[in-house]
Amino acid sequence: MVSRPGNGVSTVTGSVVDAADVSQGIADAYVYVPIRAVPRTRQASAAPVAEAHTSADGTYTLTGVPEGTQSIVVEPPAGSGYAGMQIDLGIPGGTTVSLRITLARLNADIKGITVVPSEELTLTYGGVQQYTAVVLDSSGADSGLAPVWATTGGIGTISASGLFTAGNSTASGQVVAMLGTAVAVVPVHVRPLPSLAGTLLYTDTNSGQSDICIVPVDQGTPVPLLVTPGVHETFPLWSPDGSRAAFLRTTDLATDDLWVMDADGSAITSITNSLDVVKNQCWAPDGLSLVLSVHQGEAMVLARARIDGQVDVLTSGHEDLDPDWSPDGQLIAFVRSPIWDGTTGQLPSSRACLVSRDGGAVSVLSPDSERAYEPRWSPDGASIAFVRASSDGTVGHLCLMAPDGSAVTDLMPDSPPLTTAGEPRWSPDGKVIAFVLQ
Amino acid sequence: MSYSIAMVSVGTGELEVLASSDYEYEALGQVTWSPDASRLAYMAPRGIYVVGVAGSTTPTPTLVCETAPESSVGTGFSIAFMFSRLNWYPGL
Repeated sequence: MVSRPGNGVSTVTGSVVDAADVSQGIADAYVYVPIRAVPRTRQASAAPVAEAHTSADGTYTLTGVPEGTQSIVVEPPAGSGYAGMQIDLGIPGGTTVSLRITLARLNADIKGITVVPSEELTLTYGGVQQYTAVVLDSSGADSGLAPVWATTGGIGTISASGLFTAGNSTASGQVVAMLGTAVAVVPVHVRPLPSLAGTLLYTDTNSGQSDICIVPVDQGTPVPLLVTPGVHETFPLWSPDGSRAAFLRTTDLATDDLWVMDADGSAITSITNSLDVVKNQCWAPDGLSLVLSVHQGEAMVLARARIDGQVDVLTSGHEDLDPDWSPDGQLIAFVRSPIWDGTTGQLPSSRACLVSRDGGAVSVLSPDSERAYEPRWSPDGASIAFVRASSDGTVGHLCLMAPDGSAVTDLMPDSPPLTTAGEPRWSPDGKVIAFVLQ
Repeated sequence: MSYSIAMVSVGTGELEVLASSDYEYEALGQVTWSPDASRLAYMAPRGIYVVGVAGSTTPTPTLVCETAPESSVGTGFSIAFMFSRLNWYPGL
């Protein structure tokens, strides 16, 4: 491949070190950038684009390196017993690139390095990504050796354990894992967080864990908003004004707690501590607290969690789920069932209820003879949509009722038999309800 | 069993189906409105879709992005589907 130098030239600086002891610099190694496109008449005497010999502590500086893809070649001192190496890097124009190069002994028996994740990645400013690497011996097995990590292109920093942190400027470069002659390179792009208007918030599992991402609806390229290595973050939900998002976080895949972060993924704050939150949290209209279901012994109760960390339990002794806050912030609709041990063979009752935001007496809205699910306040607070199901739960119709449980209206009187509605979602103008039909 | 994304007019009771499963047991859900009420987004095992709700033409869902590895699609659910709560940014 022919390098095409652009207008800018850069400096590459760093050190050449022993792979077995990276604190040990290698003196008098020859580091150079070979010329890559030369006229035929000059080939015999073509000089490197840039060259340097390492000093006593192994440091070097290459100046005048053209931007574009360049090879950095290292020739160890004669008789030193090290293997030489070549690294192909994308050099941005007009910058200084830091590059530490490790040389292994010729008998190091290294075949290659694999890095995970190996896919090209785009992170937003300050985003993090944990990289792991396996150094393979000549048989292709894990040698147990650890590579040295580096970055190029001003994309950010990477720790000795492979934790990459994106910088705060737009850049494209590479994460590099090196050991001796073995090199693995992963392209990385760092971009600012896009405008949030017109984006969707969701949980992405393409990385193998649950990360919180946004995706612009009209562009389709997801952008990670919160990626925490080894931690699963799920069920993200914007606050009503979009200034924050609440989400659940678990490290043991058994107990979820509620967390809140600012809209740009910063200021990540724990709200509950080992409460074991059920997934259906709901913001208060003022954005200062959330209602959620939490496990409490055999029961699941409603709790109000303020973003300052204060948590108040609102109900007790039942399985209380699916809370939805009234638009005026005074009441919470939810579904109540008795604690079910599963031995009766019959589904427990399921009734729509109301409770004050401060707890206290519970008002039952739907009769015990019917099953009610998913109560959802209309935007004007004048009615509640809910799913009214048959006693065996196989058929459910979308219905409306007044906030006192009266004036129940079936919105699907002519729907085919054995169809079930779910997930009612009022349109923002209150004219239409979208839902899932089975 | 198949799934559809539908909407009903509160005033008239008119029911409209906007999208349906491509194959049996393909779950659709996680419905969320755009702030201007002109579009709906929803999830399927493969990824996120968006569909317009205004106008007289037949709604055509568009794939916004894939959210789960190909290997997890086809069972009717995916981990991304089960652990998401798709929601549209509330600001315009």
